[in-house]
Amino acid sequence: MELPETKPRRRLSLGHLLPSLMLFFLVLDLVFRFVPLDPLTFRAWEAMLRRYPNAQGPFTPGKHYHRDNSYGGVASIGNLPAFRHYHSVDFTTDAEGFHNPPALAQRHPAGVVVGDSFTAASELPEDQSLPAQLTRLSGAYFYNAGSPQPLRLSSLQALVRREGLRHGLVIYQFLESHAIDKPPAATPDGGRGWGQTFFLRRVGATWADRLRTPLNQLHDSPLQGLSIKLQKLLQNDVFLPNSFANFVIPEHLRNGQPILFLPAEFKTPGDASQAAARWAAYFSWYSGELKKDGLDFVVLLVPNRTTIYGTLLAQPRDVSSSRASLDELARNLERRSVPAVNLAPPFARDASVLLDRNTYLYLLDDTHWSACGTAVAAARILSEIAAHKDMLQLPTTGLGEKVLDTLSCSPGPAR
Amino acid sequence: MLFNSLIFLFAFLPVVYLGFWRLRGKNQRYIWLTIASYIFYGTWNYKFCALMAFSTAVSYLAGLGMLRWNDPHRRKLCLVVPVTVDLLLLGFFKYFNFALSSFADVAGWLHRPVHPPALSIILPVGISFYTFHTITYMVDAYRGVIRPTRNFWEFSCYVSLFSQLVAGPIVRFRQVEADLENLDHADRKRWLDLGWSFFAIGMMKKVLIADTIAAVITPAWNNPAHLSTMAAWFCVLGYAYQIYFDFSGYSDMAVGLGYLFGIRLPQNFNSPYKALNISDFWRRWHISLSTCLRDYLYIPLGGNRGAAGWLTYRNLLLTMLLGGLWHGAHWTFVFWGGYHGALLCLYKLFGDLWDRLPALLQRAATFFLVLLGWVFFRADSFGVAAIMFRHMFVWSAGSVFPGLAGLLVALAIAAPIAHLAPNTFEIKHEWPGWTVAAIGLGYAVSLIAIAGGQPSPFLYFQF
Repeated sequence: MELPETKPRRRLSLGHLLPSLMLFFLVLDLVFRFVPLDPLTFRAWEAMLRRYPNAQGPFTPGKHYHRDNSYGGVASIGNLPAFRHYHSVDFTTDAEGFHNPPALAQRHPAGVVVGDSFTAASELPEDQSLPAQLTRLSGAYFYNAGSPQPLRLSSLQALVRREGLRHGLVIYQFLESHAIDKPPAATPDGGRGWGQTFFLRRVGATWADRLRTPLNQLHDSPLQGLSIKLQKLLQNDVFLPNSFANFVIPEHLRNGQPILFLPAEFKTPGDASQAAARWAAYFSWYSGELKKDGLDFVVLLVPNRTTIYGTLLAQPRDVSSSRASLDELARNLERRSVPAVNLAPPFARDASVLLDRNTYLYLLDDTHWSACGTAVAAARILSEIAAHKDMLQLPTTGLGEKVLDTLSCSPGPAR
Repeated sequence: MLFNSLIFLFAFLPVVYLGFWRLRGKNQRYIWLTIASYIFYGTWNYKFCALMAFSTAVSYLAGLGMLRWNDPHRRKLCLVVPVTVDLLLLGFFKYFNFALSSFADVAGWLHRPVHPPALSIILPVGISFYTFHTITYMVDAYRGVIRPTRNFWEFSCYVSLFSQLVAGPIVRFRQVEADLENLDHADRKRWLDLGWSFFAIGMMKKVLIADTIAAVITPAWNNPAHLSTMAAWFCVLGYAYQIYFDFSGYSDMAVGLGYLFGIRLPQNFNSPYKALNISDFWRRWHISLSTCLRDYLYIPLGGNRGAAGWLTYRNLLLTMLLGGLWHGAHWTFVFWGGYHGALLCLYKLFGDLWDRLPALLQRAATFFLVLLGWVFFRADSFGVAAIMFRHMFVWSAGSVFPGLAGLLVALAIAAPIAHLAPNTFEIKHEWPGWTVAAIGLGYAVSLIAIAGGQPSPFLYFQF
């Protein structure tokens, strides 16, 4: 009997398996990039930020993020679970993609706070961001326009028009570490590259937004995020040494509390007076442009954590050059008649007093300020505004009591 | 661009591979590989592509000169001028600041301090390797061992081939000439499995073993002052396996890539930690370099023609000192070379006695001697080497270092492979299904490890 002809079984070979495996990883990675990042993130910033921002806000619009066990970015960078201060976070964006929870939003804002991640406040309770504190203390609504980099003039003007802000106040939160950078060009679009300008003119903002949406999706690889998480898990100083710890500087405050810094927080501008002059010129121009629209302008100078806590460490560091650089900028702004609030002196005073009560103006596992810090900052700004009679006057009745109430704030215990 | 980077694995390699096999003509393939190799090289520093192109052009013209002229004087000129140019370039980029600082040190010792300004020179990656490619080509052409090629693209493809451009193996033209000549007839499927097998094994050696060991011992090597005796031995032992798995892993990947493009590259490691004596070690370790040093330095110096006379010892020492210097512009490398040269001389003197020892003892003793040498090779300075030796041989108690568990696991895998298992050129690469699946799993784990961190450079890239 003749047996039916059988095909020889195909042998599993490396020449086919390994390229197929790579193709599989590639496809898997592409697919995963369209899956929301939320479950992989430990805080709102990574989950909500658009890497290719659309014409309006920097975050995904109309989205809510919640996490029960969020913790600071520096503890995450250093892969140091023992340094984490767990807390719950909520982060809600408005239709424009800014951090403005609907519960706090009002129709006509009295002012807009422009700034970076300190203003956006992804690590604080939603009612404790700087704009929310300003709203609470003054009773007038302040719009949160915080984004990774403070808004350029043209973006701000567009926002002001959209929000119907007339004769209001613009607060520009400026972090000390930005003094190292050059200010943007004194043009409405901040010297945007010719390619980008050409692209926007040709394509139009709407289509540019549409094109950027898939780019945002493709930017972050959850698969890569998972591999990093796995590496961090293995690098626990038992199985493998924690190489991530090299990216942070652990210190102790004089009350014994551990605090983590990033090396970048210790950087100061090489030539402080030149940097101050450049930024003061930029703010003067920015202020002048806003004046044409009937808007008042205040610069809020925010010191780095190191500037405030450097001298309060168990082994104090010399931060005189950091303080001097902010003072220099404040003097330059004064010379140019640009109203400014320098938070360095009051923060240094308050931080020292609060330290004895185990209360901090900044987070211990993150570069940003705490709810206490935003409250003090808000109170200082409102006092400054009250002192400027030609500025928009806000109700400040009982402000002194509110500030005292603010200073009694205390952070939750570390879990 | 590193072999163990995502950009290489998921973009460069697939594009170059698919493009290469789409092309049919020999010249098309030479040009394609040359362009790809220059892009690969340019990702480090595009400015140095011009340097490699210059070196290639000079050597190619020298080859043409040797083809054209039979007059010994002219032929000699075709050898001496380009070799001098190559060596001057290598000397300037690799050794200029070293020579300057050594001169300043000597002047300081003689109480005549000088402060020559050091130039800001960036060492072009792979210059030691491609310079050897061009020099061996010209010397072989001069000796009549090879017939220089008239095809510029074939020659530029040989010099710049990305698989062995930055860290070897140092391939001689005669070793790849036949495959380059038949590049248009290469069969894609013939060596596909073999190529991937070499590549995957090399990748696992590098990413899973060498990098794991490095993650634990590198912080300790960078700060050796407070190491305990046990920690110091773990550091040295770890480095012995790290460098072997790193460099042999790279060589395996290079050989694998060569196979994928139809070019057979020579073996660079033949289980060196199985060596019975130091002479045997150098026949097994970085074979392409040691044979180059033998053929182009030791033998021209006179080799061992003086039987066991002092000239043989001088030649050995000189060759090994220069071999040490080739690794880097640092006196610790020169000392390491001298140490191995001295061991080779001692073996020449007492080899008869050594060979009478039991084989196991010979292997263990050879490994121990090599291990001691690695201290000078790895140490950033003689001070660090001295600290390490003190901790190794003068008891100091204390803890080990973070990550000991990972190191022990890696060593438990590395040691049997290095001392007992057959090497990649000894195995047949005809894997049963379950082994293919296991290699696939190991390769996938390597990819995950690569995706989770910055790719770590291969140790021999610095040379």
